[in-house]
Amino acid sequence: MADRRRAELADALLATAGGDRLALRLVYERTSAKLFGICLRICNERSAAEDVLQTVYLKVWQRAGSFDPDKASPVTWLATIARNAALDWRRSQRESDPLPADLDQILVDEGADALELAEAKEERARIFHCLGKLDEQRKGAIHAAFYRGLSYPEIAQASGTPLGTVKSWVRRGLMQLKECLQGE
Amino acid sequence: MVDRDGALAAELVLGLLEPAERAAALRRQLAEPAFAALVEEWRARIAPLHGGFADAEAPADGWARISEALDLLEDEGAPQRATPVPATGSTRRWQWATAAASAVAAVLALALVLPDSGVEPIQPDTPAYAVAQLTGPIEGLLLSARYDETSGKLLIKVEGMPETETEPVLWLLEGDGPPVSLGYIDRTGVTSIIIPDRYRAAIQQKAQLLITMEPAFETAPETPGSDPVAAGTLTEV
Repeated sequence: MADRRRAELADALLATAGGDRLALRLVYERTSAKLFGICLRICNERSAAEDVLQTVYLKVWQRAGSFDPDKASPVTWLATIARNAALDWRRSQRESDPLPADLDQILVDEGADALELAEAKEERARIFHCLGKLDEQRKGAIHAAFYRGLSYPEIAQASGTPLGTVKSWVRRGLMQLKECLQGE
Repeated sequence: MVDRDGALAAELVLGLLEPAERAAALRRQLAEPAFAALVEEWRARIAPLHGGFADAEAPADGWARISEALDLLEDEGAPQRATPVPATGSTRRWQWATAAASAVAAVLALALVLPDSGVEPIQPDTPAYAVAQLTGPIEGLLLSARYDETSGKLLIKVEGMPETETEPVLWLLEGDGPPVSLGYIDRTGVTSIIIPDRYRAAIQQKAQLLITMEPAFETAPETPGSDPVAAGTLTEV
């Protein structure tokens, strides 16, 4: 049962907070594929993703004491750390390489990606339904930010659209998501 | 009409803010409970999106590398082992040892910054110190703590504290008990606190240290007024 696995993972994080390395190993065994998937997608470079994955579990080791099972599921808490660590790496790269050459390979209007995957995985979260209701431009921009870790300038460059327009897409799209989630 | 603070909170969570805007938003998250609540709202709202990432098999030596880095973190009591692992043909492994060593260095730097801290070569089999790194939702905020079991002195060093009107307060959390206030600490640099006798046993049993941001009064509050901005667990070295 999903509830039991979730409770086991929460217990493992609690034990990790107490300095139990075997507990961290259990967390790793259960979650490394998911977290590596996140690192790979956002870093877009395998060796960087491998390095970031290591950082992620060191952060889990240091922060396990601040995991609150009432505020988030263990997997979501871990996934958030992973995505933020991968974003940190992208930020550090931007200092030396403001608009990387691989941007033109990253299509902004690949909004269907996450939605199809979510359906295939039977992810029932309403936000996927709400995301699907946005127009292509707003959906694509939010998708690029969340799933590819692109910055506003990068999204503008990749889509050949002015910066201000992209910001407007994202902000209005986010407000629409909020209304959709609150309204239904 | 677009709600300005809501949009800013969402952009912070998504990672869309440029460095200067991001630093300003992180400061606001620390200083303004209403803004912090918006950030938390957006974090929870988009959290389910993480389910849309595809899995990918982690590298075969993934756990080994994490374990090595943890070994370095735990070796900080033996200075000769706290140096980066020599490269054995793999540059990546060297980079990882260096990253872990900088975590170790952060703790040792705490020792070096205080001339009267009485640091002596530590015998690995007679633990006399407990250390902790405190982190939380505020990116860049890092506190390093070192507790000397012999003298009862706790040293705590703060890095990356944004400007706010509130001041950091340190709390000790042991077991199921309520947090115990150890008072205000300096928002930068190193604060030295003598732990009262009655808490010394607690602090030696893998206690948790927490930081909350509180309004500046003459004496520190007795109960936390808000959620911790940083937490960490003391580990004996």
